[in-house]
Amino acid sequence: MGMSTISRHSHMFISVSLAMFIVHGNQVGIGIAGVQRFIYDRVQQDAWIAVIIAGLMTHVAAWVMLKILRKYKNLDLYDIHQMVFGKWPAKVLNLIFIIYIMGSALTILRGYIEIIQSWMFPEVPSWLLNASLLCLAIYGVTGGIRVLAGISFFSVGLTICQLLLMIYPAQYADFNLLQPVFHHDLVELLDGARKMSFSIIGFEIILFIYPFVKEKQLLSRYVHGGLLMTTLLYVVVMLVTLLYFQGEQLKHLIWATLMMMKIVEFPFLERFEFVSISLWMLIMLDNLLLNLWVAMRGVHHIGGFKERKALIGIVIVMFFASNFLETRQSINWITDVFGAVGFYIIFVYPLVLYIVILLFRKGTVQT
Amino acid sequence: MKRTRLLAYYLLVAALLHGCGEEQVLEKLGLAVAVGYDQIGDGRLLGTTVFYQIDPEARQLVTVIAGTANTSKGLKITHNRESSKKIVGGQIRVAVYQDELARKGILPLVENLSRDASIGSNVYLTVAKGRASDILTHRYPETSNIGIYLYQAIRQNVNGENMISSKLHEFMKDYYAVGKDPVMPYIERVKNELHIDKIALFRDERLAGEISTREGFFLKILRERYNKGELEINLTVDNQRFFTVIEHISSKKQIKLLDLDKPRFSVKVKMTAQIQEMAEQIDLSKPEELHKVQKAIQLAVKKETEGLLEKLRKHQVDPVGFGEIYNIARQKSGKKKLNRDECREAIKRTQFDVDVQVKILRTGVIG
Repeated sequence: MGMSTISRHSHMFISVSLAMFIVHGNQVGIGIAGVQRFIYDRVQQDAWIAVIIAGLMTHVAAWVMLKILRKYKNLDLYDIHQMVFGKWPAKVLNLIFIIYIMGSALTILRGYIEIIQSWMFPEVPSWLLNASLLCLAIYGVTGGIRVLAGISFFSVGLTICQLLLMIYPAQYADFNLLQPVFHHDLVELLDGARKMSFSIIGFEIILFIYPFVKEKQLLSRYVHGGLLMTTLLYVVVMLVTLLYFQGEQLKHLIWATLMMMKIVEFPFLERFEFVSISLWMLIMLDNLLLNLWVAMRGVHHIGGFKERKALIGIVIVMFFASNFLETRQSINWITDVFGAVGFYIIFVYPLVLYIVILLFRKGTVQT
Repeated sequence: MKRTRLLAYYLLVAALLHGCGEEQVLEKLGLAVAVGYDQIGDGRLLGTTVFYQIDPEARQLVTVIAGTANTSKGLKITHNRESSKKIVGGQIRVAVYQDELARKGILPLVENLSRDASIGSNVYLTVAKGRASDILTHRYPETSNIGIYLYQAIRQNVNGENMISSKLHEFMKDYYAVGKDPVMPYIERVKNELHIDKIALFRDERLAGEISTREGFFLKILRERYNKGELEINLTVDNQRFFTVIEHISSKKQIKLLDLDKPRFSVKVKMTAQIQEMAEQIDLSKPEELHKVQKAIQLAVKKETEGLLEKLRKHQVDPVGFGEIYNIARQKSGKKKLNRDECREAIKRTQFDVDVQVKILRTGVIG
């Protein structure tokens, strides 16, 4: 059985409480800037209920993931695939995962660059921003999991600071806009929750950081804590959005959250949204870094390359792929594709895997 | 050591790359503070921009330029052609629309402001009696910057609750609401003075009528929560007619639909205030006298509110949002949501039961 060849020294472990920040940080990224209109499109004023349902779904999915991980003491998903399916099927599955993870990293990177281009510097070419963010990514990822955990910690702090700014748009709240409540049936609400999935996935990171976590018995409470934080954050943002915009208006807003920031005004700093967008880099940076780290580990695992070489390769692929996505339509397209695929990979696949493990691999509990 | 070198590389690359960004030197910019739109002859637009220039050698810090084009973005191009500075919109605080233009609809112009990422949501929108360019290009002896003057005049009145706020966001929100119409301050130049003593009523995107700011007070208490501000009322107590001023008014409204088939609304207003000035000697320390005055104020407010509602119906506008409330009640009873024309039609012949309750909290420092 091919164990991951990486040596696990004590300095490569992270404290279990940081898992909360990693989970939350990796969930909240570019999606929160403008997911509202997709959910509104399905369930109108009940969008906030769909958000709560999506939040509950993440708890269920994470519970299944933790069940799988507990079956195999110290392995990540790449290793587990190999244990369960054998060498070659595992390589195929791992490759699918790597492509998916790289794809979501790409949507995050391209999504953020588009925000910079639409809001701040329309004349800066994409490749330039790509290059500087990816250089930063190489630097961050080579720092290892502990550095990534640290960035996640700051990312979460910043998200909370930005959440406080919601007080400004909340002053324009019109509570008639939530009426009539519960006007959609469960099927519609579930459909809305599915639309949410792209913005709320990212907690699959636990499948990969698991071997690096100290005190694994405490992991589940921190993972669920992180998920709860994300759900609460999204519910607040969704509610304020619904109260602040008319539905017809919201349908056309690509970045509803940033549009709300336009109303924020300090006596010493008008137009706070520009500061906000710049700070947003840190919120999305941890998603980018964690995804690249996972992809790097995967390429290292299936191809046997050195981690650093794998990383450079991935970054080069990302750079060219990202430059390929130039227009709004192509960005929408890739976001839709990975949103839809993500739903099955994150919410459905772990359940399938768990059932397979229960049915066919009863004996293999130990490494 | 390797990582330090990597960091050095990254910083070098980042520093070099960011020289490629577009530079915005303050001395080369004209900061637009107010824009005006007029319609001239063959459907073309006349745009007027008041802008600041930071130039130590300029005799006038504030400059006004005008130009014509077919679209508002076209105006920006014309303006830049006429100016030695690059005109930027980030500081626009007031937009003025000619009333003739507003009668034909101003949505494309307003939408353009909100589409532009560089323009905030806090811009005040106003309607001008006559040409906007007459107001913005006139030389006022008492103020050097008409843009800032206008902004401060509107903001001061909105903050003091003497004027209904019509920020860009609020206009868009009211416009996109089904069953609610926007309003704006109506400004007029009388010789060397600017008067803001009317409120423009819109039907969707079109100017449909006007009310006085006094009527605006009653509209405001029906539209939103009211916290401060004052009102002069003509009372009749014991067959004596006299004036009083109530201050520190705070009011809450409650609007309910009583009958869905033949629309009838109950409009309840609860108001507390302080009497500041009495033109007549009435001993307010006696409870029965105070009660009489209270009753008289109640009656006067009720009468004027009913008068306002009648006027709004005559103009076929709905700035209070009765249509919205009607639509919600309709959906709650299981019927489908109406569109904006159906909604306007449905509440065309609606009845109002107005009920006003006034509580006098204090009578100043003398009884």
